[in-house]
Amino acid sequence: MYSNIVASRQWARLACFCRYVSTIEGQTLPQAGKSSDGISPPPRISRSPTDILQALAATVGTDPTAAHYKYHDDPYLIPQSNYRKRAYALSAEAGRKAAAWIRDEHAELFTMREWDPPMKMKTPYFNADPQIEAFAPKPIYNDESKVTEEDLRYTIENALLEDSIKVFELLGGVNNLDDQLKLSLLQLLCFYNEKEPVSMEWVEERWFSAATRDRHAATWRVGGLAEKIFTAMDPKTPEAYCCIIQGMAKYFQAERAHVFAQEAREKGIQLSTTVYNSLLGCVGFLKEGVNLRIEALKGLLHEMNEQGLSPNSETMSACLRSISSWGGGKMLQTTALQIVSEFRLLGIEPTLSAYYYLLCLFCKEQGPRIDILTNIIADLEKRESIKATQATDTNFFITAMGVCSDHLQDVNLAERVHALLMKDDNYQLVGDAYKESIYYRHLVTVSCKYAPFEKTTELLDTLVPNIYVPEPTVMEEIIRTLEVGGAGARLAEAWSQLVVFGHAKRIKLVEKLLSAFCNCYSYQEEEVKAMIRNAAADILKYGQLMEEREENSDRRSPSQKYEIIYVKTYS
Amino acid sequence: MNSLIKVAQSSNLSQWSPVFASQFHTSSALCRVVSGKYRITKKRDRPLTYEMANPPHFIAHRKTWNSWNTSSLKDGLRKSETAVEDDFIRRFVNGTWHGLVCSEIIIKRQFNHIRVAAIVRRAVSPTKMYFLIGYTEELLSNWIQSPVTLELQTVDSYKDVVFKYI
Repeated sequence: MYSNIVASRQWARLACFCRYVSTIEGQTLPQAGKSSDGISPPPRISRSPTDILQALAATVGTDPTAAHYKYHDDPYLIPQSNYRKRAYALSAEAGRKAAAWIRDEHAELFTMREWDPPMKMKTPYFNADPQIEAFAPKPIYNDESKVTEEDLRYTIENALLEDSIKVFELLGGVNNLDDQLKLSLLQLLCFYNEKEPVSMEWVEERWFSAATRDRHAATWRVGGLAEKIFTAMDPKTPEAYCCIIQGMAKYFQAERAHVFAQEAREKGIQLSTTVYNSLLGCVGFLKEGVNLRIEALKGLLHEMNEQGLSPNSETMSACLRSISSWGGGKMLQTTALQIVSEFRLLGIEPTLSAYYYLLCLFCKEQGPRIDILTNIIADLEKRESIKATQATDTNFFITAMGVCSDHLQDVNLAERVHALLMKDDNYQLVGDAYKESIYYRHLVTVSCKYAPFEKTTELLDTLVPNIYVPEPTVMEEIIRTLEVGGAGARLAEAWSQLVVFGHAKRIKLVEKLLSAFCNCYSYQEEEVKAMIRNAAADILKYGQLMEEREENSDRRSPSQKYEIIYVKTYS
Repeated sequence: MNSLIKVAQSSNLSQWSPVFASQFHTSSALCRVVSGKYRITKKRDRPLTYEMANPPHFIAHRKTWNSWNTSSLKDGLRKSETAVEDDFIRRFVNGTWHGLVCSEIIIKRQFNHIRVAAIVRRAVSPTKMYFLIGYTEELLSNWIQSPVTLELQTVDSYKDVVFKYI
């Protein structure tokens, strides 16, 4: 009886397996030609596992009135000011780090289940199906650990820079490695300039990392491990040369990079296009004066031509990057346009980075107003999709919006830029938290100054406070707009916004708000008048509270000013 | 609990078993269910949440289960593992959010995703709460090796979840 059941179950399994196989078979038939009955099903399109999820997600837009999904959906836990947004996201990540530290310190506890029956205890047994690599403990390397080349390969593949140096030392330095491994370690060191990168795992830390502008200074570590490995390599392969030159060029050790490039050329070593791209990016460090620099740039491009290397889109952005960092002026601008048209002839379209450098070159703060952005946006709108290829691509949208706001003062163009950013997946190009907030600062400012009142309030309603919290200067602009528009109710609300955003202690801002109250008060409806009175009373109360607090810390308070304006509001 | 396992593992269990087997009761069965029910106090001041106020026979009528999974269905997988894991999660969350959790901890499993829901008090700052959220999620997902998500709601004080006093 019992065996019968088992047999039937196995039969069922077999049948299931057969069905499974047959469906797979059915799916893979592409049916290229027409079949006998005239029906020709289209060939199967292969999908990735997340394609359906992405299709589903595309049907739902983002809800701007909700907090970002990294925050918990609870009134107590939704951040309202920039400081809180940052603090909450980073503390959650700090908790994650604490847990990861415990996992790595006690790695032996995280490999098998303690409550398994004793017979299972002996074999490492993974809890989850599917097994997830990211949840497995990471190895810790110190002076006592026994390492093999496999460990070095692992650390290099996962870009664990300090660990890989440790393992490298434990393995006994340069002489005990095979060439392939030596090369990949050299590549890692050159790419990161021997500085440990922030791991991909810590999303928030990368998002909120202080915006360090690309410093055009030689930060290459002279005489470091990378150079030691390079000198120890014998024979020096073309890959090794490419790697060390690119590393030096990336971190602006320009002269030595060019010396190495010269050396390679003399030895007859073929350099790659990417090496020339990086050399083009730092060619300005060799020469002084615009003319000489342009000569050197053209010289390098000629050299590429002689070597039979075909340029790519990165070559163009490297050229433009150099040119835009040499200042401004008619000559550089014409050279840049020449380069763009040359590359267009070759069938290479400018990337976002190239456009970013063009904007930097043409739209100077003090310079004459030059409208190249309209054409750029028209070109980008025509493209089917915009893909990020370089890190500097994320600078484009913030710069474009800055140009709309300060340089061109054109709200229609700003709206087009914003629509482009919101299209498809383009929002990824916004960069990081710092860039995002500057982008919105420009957008809100230009909208407040030049857009019709209804449009501005609509924009503010969608952006504030979940997507963007206005900084004090922007808040001033908003208050001015509300005052001009005569929106008394919104002005009254602006006070509570000031408190929530943490700007309530800024005297200048509160004064602006109060004077806006005074100017609008007379022609509002009774209800709104009451709201304004309440807000003003609240400001006074807040001021007194601050005064009491500051009496303890013995500082002068501005509440007399409040009182004067308050009286004026009531009269 | 530990001593029970020790007794179970000790070898002299077999010699005891006939003694257990030979016992039988002649008294009438006492059909009084007491588990999951709370006694009324003299002063009528014992606070009960909605979950506690409803005895077990109201499950699926007035209240629902605290663990949601498919392990107890026909051909369900990982029956005992799921139960023990759930208990581990409950204890871990209660200990990590010490004195903050004021409801039962609900554990919902979908595929390999585990969602843990609870109501917590606003006794610590949001920053600390976020730290605990990150810590709990990461440690539990590393321990169980499947993604764990916390779904919390906050209340001002324990009194907000009190349904009645008995």
